[in-house]
Amino acid sequence: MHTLLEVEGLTAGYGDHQVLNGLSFTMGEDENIGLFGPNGHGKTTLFETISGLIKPASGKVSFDGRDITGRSPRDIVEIGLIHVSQGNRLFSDMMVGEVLALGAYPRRARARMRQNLDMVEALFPRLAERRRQKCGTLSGGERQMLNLAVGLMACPRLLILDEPTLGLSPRLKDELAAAIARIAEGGMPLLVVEQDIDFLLRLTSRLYLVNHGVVARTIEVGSDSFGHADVMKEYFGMTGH
Amino acid sequence: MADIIVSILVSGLVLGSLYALMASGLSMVWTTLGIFNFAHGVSMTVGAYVAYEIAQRLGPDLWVGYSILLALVVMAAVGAAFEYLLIRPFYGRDDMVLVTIMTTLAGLTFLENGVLTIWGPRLKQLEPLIPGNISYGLVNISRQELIIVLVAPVILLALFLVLNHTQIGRAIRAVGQNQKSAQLIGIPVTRMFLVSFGLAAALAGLAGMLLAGVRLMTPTMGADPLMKALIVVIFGGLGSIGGSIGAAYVIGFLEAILIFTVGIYWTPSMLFLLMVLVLLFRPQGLFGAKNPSSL
Ligand SMILES: Nc1ncnc2c1ncn2[C@@H]1O[C@H](COP(=O)(O)OP(=O)(O)OP(=O)(O)O)[C@@H](O)[C@H]1O
Ligand SMILES: [Mg+2]
Repeated sequence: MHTLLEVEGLTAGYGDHQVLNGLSFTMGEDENIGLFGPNGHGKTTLFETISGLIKPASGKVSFDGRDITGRSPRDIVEIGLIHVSQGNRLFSDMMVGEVLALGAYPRRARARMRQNLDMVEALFPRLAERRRQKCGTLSGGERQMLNLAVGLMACPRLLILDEPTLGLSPRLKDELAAAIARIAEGGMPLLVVEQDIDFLLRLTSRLYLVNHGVVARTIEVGSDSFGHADVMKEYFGMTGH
Repeated sequence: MADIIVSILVSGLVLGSLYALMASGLSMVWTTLGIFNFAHGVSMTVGAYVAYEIAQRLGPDLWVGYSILLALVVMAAVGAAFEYLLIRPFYGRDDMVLVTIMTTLAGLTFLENGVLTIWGPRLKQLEPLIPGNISYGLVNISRQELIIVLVAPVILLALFLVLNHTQIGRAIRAVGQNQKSAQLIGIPVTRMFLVSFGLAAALAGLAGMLLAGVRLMTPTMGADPLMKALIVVIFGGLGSIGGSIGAAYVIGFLEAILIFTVGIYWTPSMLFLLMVLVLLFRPQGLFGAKNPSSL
């Protein structure tokens, strides 16, 4: 299978606090990948390094065969790698409609702005009702929907989602999960960080456990009998609790 | 009595228009970069002298043809260069606000002395666009002042439309509210800083060109308008460009009234006193929302 994203021996951190310790994984073009692991072990740092917000100390990130290590966030967005970040608060004084329009800022997305707007408003009817509402006054769930919608407005070729259902009520979580499943069905490759293993098991074909800044274990979901309990066993077996 | 009121209104309107052109740029730089540009007043000075120079070379009909556009483009370039040389090296530093107070003050002295060196201390004036006065009933206004009063709202409306209804305008506002989110959308953050500096300098330069048609030009002509623009921006609510524009007219009228009642010497003190009172009782400014970063 053609490789869409390849991360090789990535090290990165904040100042002299190294968080990623030579992290590697690959993702094929026709698969969805899940990442999970304990809090504070580098999942968000990994995503921010992939999307160019953090410059890695060493290692390599390739997207669709192109080396994108250390490129600017703008270049990476233009290539089509879109990062929907954890708890992104967006622009509190801008209206939902304006923020959606701004989502089509990348050159490659401009021509498709109209179609993409129809698409995300069909996916999230609540956003369509709130076009003139300021982002800062949205509920947590609505803001998370807007985050996803803004990502989709950019015409992604790969969408990386950092805890898209974080802190939501079970009902809203289901709603978001259903929307993400529909995005995946549309053929969009997804790389998702989530704590909710069941959600990842339904969505993805492979899971990577991120622990101490490396991929500590690979779990093929494909094997039919694999379930929550097995992941938990692997996970806790691994971390030694 | 009626003629006095009318003349106060006219002079308030002229002052308000100039302050609105000045304060909108100052406010825009504040909302996008979070810094206060002390060199904003000298942009006005440079604008007036650049227009003077162009008028010397291309003929005094500055207002027809491309001369004024040329002057505005030069001013935008001056603003952009200012950002590139004096602000950009300090992005991301914790003490950026403090450092840029010093670098913008440094830029102010450089530009002011540059103007003095190039054009000398002798007073200069631009030819007014249309000479002469207009009298209509009690209203007596020079044609140049009338142009100031009419041009400012048009320019400010254009600014409003750009900021609210174009991608680049939305991007400028977005960068001011959340740089990280803006980067993840693919907005080139530092380029937006450059654009907002360039735009602010062009607006200040325009105010200078307009003013130089009614008053004499000096290398320090920008100092007082900078002070007024500062009062206006705080008065209108820090971070609200719309609030700044509204406050500019309020301050313009107040100044006109104060000049008539307490005289020209006490007017600045009274305006500062008012600013202190506003900060005391309405910290979010006259038109500012509770949230400090609203437009
Ligand atoms: N801006 C920062 N400056 C310094 N340290 C940071 C910064 N952001 C994160 N860290 C640290 O880096 C480590 C990894 O954080 P990261 O956010 O990548 O973890 P995570 O796996 O995404 O956690 P979570 O599941 O809680 O989201 C943590 O120890 C965190 O405290
Ligand atoms: Mg995280």
